[in-house]
Amino acid sequence: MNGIFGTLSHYFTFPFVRYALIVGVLVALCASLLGVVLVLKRYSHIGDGLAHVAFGAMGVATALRLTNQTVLVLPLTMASAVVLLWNGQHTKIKGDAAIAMMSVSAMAIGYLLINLSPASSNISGDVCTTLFGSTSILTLTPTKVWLSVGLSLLVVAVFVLFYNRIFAITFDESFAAATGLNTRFYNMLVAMIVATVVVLAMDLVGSLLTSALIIFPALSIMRVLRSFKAVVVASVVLSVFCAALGITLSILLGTPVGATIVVVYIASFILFSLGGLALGRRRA
Amino acid sequence: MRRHRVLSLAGLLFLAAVLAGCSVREAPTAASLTPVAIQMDLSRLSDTMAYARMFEIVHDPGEYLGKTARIQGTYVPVPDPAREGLYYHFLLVADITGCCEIGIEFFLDGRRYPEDYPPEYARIELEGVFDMATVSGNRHICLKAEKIRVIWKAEPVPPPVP
Repeated sequence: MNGIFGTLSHYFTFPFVRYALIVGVLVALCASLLGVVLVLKRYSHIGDGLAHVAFGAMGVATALRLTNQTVLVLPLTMASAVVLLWNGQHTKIKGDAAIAMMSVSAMAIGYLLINLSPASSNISGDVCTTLFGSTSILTLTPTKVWLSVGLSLLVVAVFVLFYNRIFAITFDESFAAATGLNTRFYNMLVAMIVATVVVLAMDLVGSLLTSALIIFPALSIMRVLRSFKAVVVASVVLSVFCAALGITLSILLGTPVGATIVVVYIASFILFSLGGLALGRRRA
Repeated sequence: MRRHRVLSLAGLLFLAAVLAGCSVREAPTAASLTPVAIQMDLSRLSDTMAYARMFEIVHDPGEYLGKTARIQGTYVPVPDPAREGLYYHFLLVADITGCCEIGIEFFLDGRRYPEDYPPEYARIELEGVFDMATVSGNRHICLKAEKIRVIWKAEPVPPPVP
């Protein structure tokens, strides 16, 4: 055990490990905040769809050889989030079909552009890193760390500031609209925050695994708790714990960071499901 | 009932922490990672950490110049397209998935290629000092190697079937 703590304390002298932990915890916090809303509104698949769009946007940024790809990826993903919600309400292609169409189109275009205009000789490596995160969380530059910290704080601020309205549109959108709340605006706001979280989470777990950060904490906590506020707070605590544990395990065991974090989330879901079953029996 | 829920939550988190702690294998201590002669021993780090450390060294070399290091990776010789017979020698460090790789050029004084070098794609360990090299006006970090050790040789690629 001393060996593990010795190794960990040695690893934490490296700046990139500290950066990874800071950004990982913040991203996990933001994702879990939104996860509760998305799961309750049955919008879990939007996170997945937007993650695919973000991959496509990354392909465009790579083809354009942008040094800071976030400046293009973030606005494109946000725009897609707005289009998806707008599309769902006003056109013939609705809901999951629109998300599926946009996801695969973005993936195909992104992959095509990366291949047509490769930024490096290791195309498969670039694609693998973008899809699964690999070690990108351990190779963050200070600029990217500050950008992630700023965006994370913005997401938390928006959620706290509009908590009551987000609560209202989550549980009964029709009633919220009837009381005069601009539900379309708040849905767009939620979609834009989700887009921001997805872009942030790509460095942590890669675009294919971002949904795990959004849905697992909420689903796990909902096994044992019922009130909205309690689920939100407990999801945040669980998500931060799982992300920190996943990063720590991956650097100790040398495993891929994103996959390790997601496996920790899965383990927590199983534990909480068992806990929920035990509580259910006791209540009965 | 609320108290039970809080206790259940705390219990689950504690159980998760204990299980996670049990699953971690014994790793070398911080002291054993840094022998006296070698200031940075990347060979003792996991693949993920070694790759991330190399990434930092290559992209922000300032504070590493003059430090001694031991690194393991794949040996790749690259011919100079302009000068026949001239080769540059690289050590590639990959992450655990093998999808991310980062290379560092190394120099071995008094050695001739190919006689004194390992076969292409061999797994090697280098010990040396970080320094700066200049190629076509561009400065980049390199390793002035003092020791080279072959860990294993790559399987030779069979000739194409006619």
